Amino acid sequence: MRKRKALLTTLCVTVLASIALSACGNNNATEQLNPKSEGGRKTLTFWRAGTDAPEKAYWTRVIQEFEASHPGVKVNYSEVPFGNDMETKLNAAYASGTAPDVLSYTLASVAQRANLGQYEPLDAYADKWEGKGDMMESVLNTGMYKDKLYGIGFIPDPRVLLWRKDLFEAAGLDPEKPPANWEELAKDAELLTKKDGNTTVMAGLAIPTANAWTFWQSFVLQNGGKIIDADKNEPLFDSPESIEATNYIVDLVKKGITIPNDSTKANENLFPNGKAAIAYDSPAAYVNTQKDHPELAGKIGVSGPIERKTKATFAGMRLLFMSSQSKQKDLAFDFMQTVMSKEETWNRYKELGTPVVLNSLKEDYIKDKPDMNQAVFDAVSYGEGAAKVTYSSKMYEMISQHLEAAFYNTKTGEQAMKDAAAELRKELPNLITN
Amino acid sequence: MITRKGTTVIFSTVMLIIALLMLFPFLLMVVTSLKTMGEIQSPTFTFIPKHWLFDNYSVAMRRGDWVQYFSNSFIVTAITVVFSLVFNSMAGFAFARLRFPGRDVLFFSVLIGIMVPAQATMIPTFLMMKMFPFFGGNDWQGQGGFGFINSYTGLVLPFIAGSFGIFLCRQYFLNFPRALDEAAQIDGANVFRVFFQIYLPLSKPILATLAIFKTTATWNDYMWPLIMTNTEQMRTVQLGLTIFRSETNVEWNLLMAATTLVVLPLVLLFLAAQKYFVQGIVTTGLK
Amino acid sequence: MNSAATSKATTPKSRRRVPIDKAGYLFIAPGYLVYFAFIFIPLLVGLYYSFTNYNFYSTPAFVGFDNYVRLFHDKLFGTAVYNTFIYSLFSIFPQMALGLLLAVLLNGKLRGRLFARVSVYVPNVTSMVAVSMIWLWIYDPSLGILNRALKTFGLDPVQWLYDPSTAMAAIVIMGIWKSIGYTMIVYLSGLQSIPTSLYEAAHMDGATKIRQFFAITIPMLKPTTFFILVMSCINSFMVFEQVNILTNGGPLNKTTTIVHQIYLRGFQDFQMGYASAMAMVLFVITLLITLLNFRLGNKGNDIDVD
Repeated sequence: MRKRKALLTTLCVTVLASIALSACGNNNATEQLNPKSEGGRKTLTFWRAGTDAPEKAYWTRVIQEFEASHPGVKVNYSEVPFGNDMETKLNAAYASGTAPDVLSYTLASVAQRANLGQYEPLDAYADKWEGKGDMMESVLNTGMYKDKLYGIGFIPDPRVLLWRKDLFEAAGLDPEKPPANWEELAKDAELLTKKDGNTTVMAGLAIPTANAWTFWQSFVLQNGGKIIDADKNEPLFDSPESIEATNYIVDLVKKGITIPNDSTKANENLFPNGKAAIAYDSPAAYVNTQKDHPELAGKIGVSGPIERKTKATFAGMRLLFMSSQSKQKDLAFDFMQTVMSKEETWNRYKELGTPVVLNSLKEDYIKDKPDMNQAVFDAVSYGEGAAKVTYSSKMYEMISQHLEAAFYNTKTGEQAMKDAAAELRKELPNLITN
Repeated sequence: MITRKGTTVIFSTVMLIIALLMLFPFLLMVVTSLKTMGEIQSPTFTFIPKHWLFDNYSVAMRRGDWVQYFSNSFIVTAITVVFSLVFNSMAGFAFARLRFPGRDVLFFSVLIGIMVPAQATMIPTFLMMKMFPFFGGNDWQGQGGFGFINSYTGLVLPFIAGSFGIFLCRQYFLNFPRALDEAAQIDGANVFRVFFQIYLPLSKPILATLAIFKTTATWNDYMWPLIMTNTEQMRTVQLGLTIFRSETNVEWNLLMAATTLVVLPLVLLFLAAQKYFVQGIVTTGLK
Repeated sequence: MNSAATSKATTPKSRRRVPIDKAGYLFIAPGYLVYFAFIFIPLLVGLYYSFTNYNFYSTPAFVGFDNYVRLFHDKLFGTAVYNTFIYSLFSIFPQMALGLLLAVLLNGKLRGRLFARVSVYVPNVTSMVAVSMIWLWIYDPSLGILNRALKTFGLDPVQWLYDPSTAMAAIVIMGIWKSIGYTMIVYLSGLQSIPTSLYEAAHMDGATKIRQFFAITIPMLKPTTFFILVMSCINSFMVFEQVNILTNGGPLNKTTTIVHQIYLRGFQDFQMGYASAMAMVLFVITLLITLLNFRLGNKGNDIDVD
């Protein structure tokens, strides 16, 4: 009996202690969050998409310096993985009115969130900002939606042509001469592909089979095609140019020059895994491959995308946004300005390898690594990102799925594009709701 | 007797093979945590690392504030598990053994809770946490502050009782010999004493089971801490693991090293709890 | 005596009149209040959202049954429902049967029992992200571990997750692997509530082990089996994580599931009203299956213990 009572008492004490504990935790935490802390202290919240360590170190330094130069200001930093994780967190935050003052996020979010009124238009702030004139026009345009500036591009992520010089040499190709047109690309890719029976073990050209739209968009744009008329909500990707590009990709996939992979899974990315000889990938893939495979030093080539009818490539972009729910918009823009300064843009290049977005840094940037940076800079200047329509994610989901159907031989490339466009037209009334 | 020994040996061998098959992916994780990135991505696969890189563990633990992540996870998990053991077993007992009007309706309403996916209820629950009156700077209408967002309470509260635990305990208590409480009732013990002095001491297997499941679920929860916490100081181990993957790259060796360390407490807990799965507890209680 | 007290109307004649235990309300109060506030109310809110065009931000506007009508014409959702049924069909029975078998084996005296228990259970505690990444290696389409194994046996490699005919099977296998430990544990704990006296009596009557398993173990485990069946059904219908990480629903939408669609439509397209309607349909499906389970599970569930 006594033993049982003792047990009960222990239980009660544990429960009470934990209540007390959780209450304490609660107080501390909310204090850090609350923007209206005592003594004129201000707290600025900043979230960024991505969780990698180098960029975290970069932000930690920037925030330290910003706090030092702005006495009484504390920046609350938080990081969230890309993709649906960030979407979920942002949706919860906006639904509850706790969105961050400043956000570093993707181009694909511009139309959807600006249209809902979640992003603050920045024109009034940007007009007073001297740095605006120095920004590359193509980069500045990425943040525009319906003639208003909603975000400031600062980390471009263009697709450039990467190739393995060692594999070129082994296949009897000139390691310094990347393919110059689509025909050469197809020929080289086939030559470089290695198979074990029917299974491809080395991809001549890395083509994603799932979520293939970024890869596909580069080729459609190169062929002079367009994706969508954003004003009329009219899909344009069933045009002859686009179909020709699609057929080109579908043929290559059917020849087995790639290993099936999903472009949204970093762990399946063929080139950094040493499973592809040629790839359209981001400069970051080049950096990672060099880091993980020291034996490949100097054996990876970088050049601009292949020209066909126009110079074009897919280019992702990360932008800084301000929440329309922010209670300290001036301070928020102050922070954005600091990040966009010439000094910080150069630091970003030096610390993270990020391509520069300011015209005044162009020469220094190219001089620093001429063999690679010229190509990257060009790709930034004519690259095009995700279409700026509110339903872009659903649209690209449809395109990718119909492409997949063509890859798996259930329809032709032409049929895939026509079906995707028809499906989008049919779904549009459900998708344009706000 | 010889034949008996023979069957034991056969069973043991079969079990060993099954166990190794089940364990294989886990072993793969551990050996990967000891390799270099170059070896992981090389076209030729070897199970045993060429160079044993124990350094990966210390490198991984220096990325991010792991002491903080672990202590947050420990606190959140401990509180959640203690509460859920008490609340769920009490409710499960009542639903299984006590007779009161509306019992079955109430029980079924509890079951409903597991039939709607968390993805659909996550945002409403989040809004409730944010607008919880009188807490985190909120007024009585739940406005003005942050409620339980970014707090331990916010991470614990929605999980301290739930359909799964109540259902699990109820099914267990249903199996108890009724002679137990009849004997107690003759002695004149009230329901509370019956529960705390007869049922609970005999429920070690189910409490161990519930503790294991609840710990695992809380420790491994990713989505809720992701939307609930906003500062480095509040992050849990699962959020900490994201640091090893970026949009374009995964640092396999470090990720696997950190994951191995994150799984370790759960394996230890299981080792401690599994000893309650020993035949005959209830029977001993009967005598 | 009736030990499964779910059906209130059918009181057996033998049962004595027992006074009402008001204390029951006190016992369920703490757990039920937490459940009600943080799970049940959000569920009702979800039901409300399913009749609106909620997008996480603007004030939701009432749209009547529009979401449900749209759902009815949504081919992708139809595929998702079909896939979810396929997944459930092929994962529930194996995981229950294997779990029971392992529990019975690991309950007896066995060399290396502890090691075996831990090995079977470890998949269940490892977080899904790490586990999925390991399985991505195993299933790798070019030179994955599984394909190397096939090659040594002289078989042709398979593209597993990238082959429309094997992708769902690959997901089911991983799902079974992950949940065997879970069913084993519940069965193990259920086995502990079977009085050893029953086995002793059977042993004295000269019943074999196999006979004992069918005559004592299985009937006595009925409440446990019922619990596992209900939970496995519900869990299989909620399958999401491995799909999200392993295949993203592909190839050719062969592995997209209901919850995967809810997640995409809600959090990717911001159509939470529509996603909530999907959640309500899923709710009705799981509810019907649970009711069916209760009906079947209660038949012949009267076990005389003492």
